[in-house]
Amino acid sequence: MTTLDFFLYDNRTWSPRWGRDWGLKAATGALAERADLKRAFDQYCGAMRSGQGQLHGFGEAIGGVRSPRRDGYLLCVTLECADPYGRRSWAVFGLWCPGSALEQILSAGDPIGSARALLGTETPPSGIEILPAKTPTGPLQRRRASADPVFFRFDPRSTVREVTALLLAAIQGGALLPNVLGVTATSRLAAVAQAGFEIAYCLPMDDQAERALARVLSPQEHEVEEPCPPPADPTSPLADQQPRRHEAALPRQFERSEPRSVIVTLWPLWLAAGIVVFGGLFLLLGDLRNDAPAGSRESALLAEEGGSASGEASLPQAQVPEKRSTEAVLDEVGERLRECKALAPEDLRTSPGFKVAETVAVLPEFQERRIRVQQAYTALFEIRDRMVKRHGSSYVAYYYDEDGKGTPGEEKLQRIGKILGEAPLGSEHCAALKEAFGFEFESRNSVVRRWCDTLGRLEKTARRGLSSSL
Amino acid sequence: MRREGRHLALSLAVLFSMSESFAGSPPAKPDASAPVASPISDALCGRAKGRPMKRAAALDDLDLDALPPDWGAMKDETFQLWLAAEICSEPSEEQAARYTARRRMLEELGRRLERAKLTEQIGTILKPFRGWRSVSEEWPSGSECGGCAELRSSTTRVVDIASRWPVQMSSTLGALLKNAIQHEDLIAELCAAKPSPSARAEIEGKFQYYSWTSSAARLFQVAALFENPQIVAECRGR
Repeated sequence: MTTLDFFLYDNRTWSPRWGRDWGLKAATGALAERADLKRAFDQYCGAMRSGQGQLHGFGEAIGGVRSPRRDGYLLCVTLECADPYGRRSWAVFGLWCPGSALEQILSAGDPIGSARALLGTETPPSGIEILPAKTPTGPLQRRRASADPVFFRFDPRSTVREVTALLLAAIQGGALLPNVLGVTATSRLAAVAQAGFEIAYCLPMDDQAERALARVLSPQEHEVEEPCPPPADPTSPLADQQPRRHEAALPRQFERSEPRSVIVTLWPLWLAAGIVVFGGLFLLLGDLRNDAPAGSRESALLAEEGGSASGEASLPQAQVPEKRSTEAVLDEVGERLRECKALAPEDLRTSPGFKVAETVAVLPEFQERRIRVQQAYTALFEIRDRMVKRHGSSYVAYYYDEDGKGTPGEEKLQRIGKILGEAPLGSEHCAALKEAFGFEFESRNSVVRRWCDTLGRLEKTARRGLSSSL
Repeated sequence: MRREGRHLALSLAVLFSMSESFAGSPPAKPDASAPVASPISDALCGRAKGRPMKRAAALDDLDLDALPPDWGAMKDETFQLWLAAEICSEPSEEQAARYTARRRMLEELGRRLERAKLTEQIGTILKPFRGWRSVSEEWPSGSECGGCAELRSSTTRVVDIASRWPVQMSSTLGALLKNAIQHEDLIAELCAAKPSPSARAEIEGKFQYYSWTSSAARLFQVAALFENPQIVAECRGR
């Protein structure tokens, strides 16, 4: 497929100028001489962090900026990854799509997968080869009627598809391509607008950013956001009508008016939308079920989370804090506590990987990695201790089984949130262990896998129910 | 005048090589681009007398797998003079036919010698593995990690082959060709010891911690040996 010139901004690739620190690590081909695009890319990367420099929980994001010379589009792919020390981090690839290349890249290529394939390469290649798309790009409607710039809440499940559809719609509609900030944790949203972004997807990492987003979010957003049916079979009659639907994804300034007759002929889509709305109601009922007592919810909770926790829990999806009752959250934390109590530290100490990390020496150049693995094990013990028992500080079990039991719900939740928020809850440590001892994660009976599954669920619970306290 | 001078030099070289009194210092090399007639040429045509004539006559029914002492003790440098020798001047039909037949035998011998030199280079590649201590079973065990078992087995075999590789003590044709026979057998063993590419991939994918150890570094060194272009060329099609 196509090979594109690209920028790379990260804190893991080594460069003579920046070492491994944050900086522009690659500007290949034509981009090496494009100061205007470098500036635009720099601005894009600089607009992403929160005030505390945080940005995580998004997995992957896509955005981009128009070339100041109007000779193409710089498609920006942001990927969540680990830095050289195994800490969570991210990298931005700016893929230069000259002329009309963007449409082909978005409709038939896999820019995210292509960028991900380059993650971790010591020396960036001279170009990024765009792999073919695994599945055709499906449209996702998001009709809005708001003044520009527009701010959306980042949703790891849909935002990438939404931005892709939005850009494709702009191309196919002959409209000006928007400057889209694919993900940002900043609370300085006015600065984002001033920087020229017409659309920004926000993932607040702190209260300040949350409040800033709440101020600019259109009240209609929650009402009008509607996922669309899965990509249509190209042989079905619906497929012929699909491309037009992209236009519905555009904010007003990018929209084109739709002739009524076309809208009428789109009845299958309205039918599909009806099905989606019905599905939404069904899911809503599922949410209500979460408020039921923990015992009755347990199996559903495990069924929902169990499959993804082992190892895959390394990058928890960012969740918008749900409006759930304090009791429901406390019940869920209580369930996690029971699971953590079932983890026997001695089992982990006698697991193959642990013993190896303690006893098998490595070459000096890998010593740092061995230490990282040992730290990961220590962190798992520490997380369990934070839940079950530890000396000299508070722990979660105190509020369930000991004197803290009588603490009022809200306060209890806040204190638990503080305990769990002291340090990361395991996914990054489990990722380091999975990398070093992949074999341990292949067996269902593996002790370390059980620990990581359990702590993965704990992390998810904390994000879902305690994010305001963390 | 120059031609006569070169003729004289070649004659002297042949005389020295016959008496073996000049073994320590090599005779002047012939100019390959302009081979000239010499006593060797005369011997190949069946004109000369004495030792050159005997050597040349031995070519008529030479057993390449068991060279007669006269040829077996010959140094490579001397052999190159024989190989470069032109046909004698003004040969009769019979002399020309004799020269051609002997020349064919010399060329065959030359090919074997070149192959012997080529296989000798594999010994140089294997040299670093001589004297490696045997690979002991450690974590991860062979039953846990098939790739580890495979690479360990390869390593053991490579170390064994390297230790059995004949040390070149002499550069006579006999010694070179005798070693070459052993080389061929050892190369066949070496190629059979080649690990599958998935062995290393398994270690790096599932047992990455092990790949950080000195033991694995040795295994990877063996895996890399089989990526050496010369080894790849030798093992192709085996």
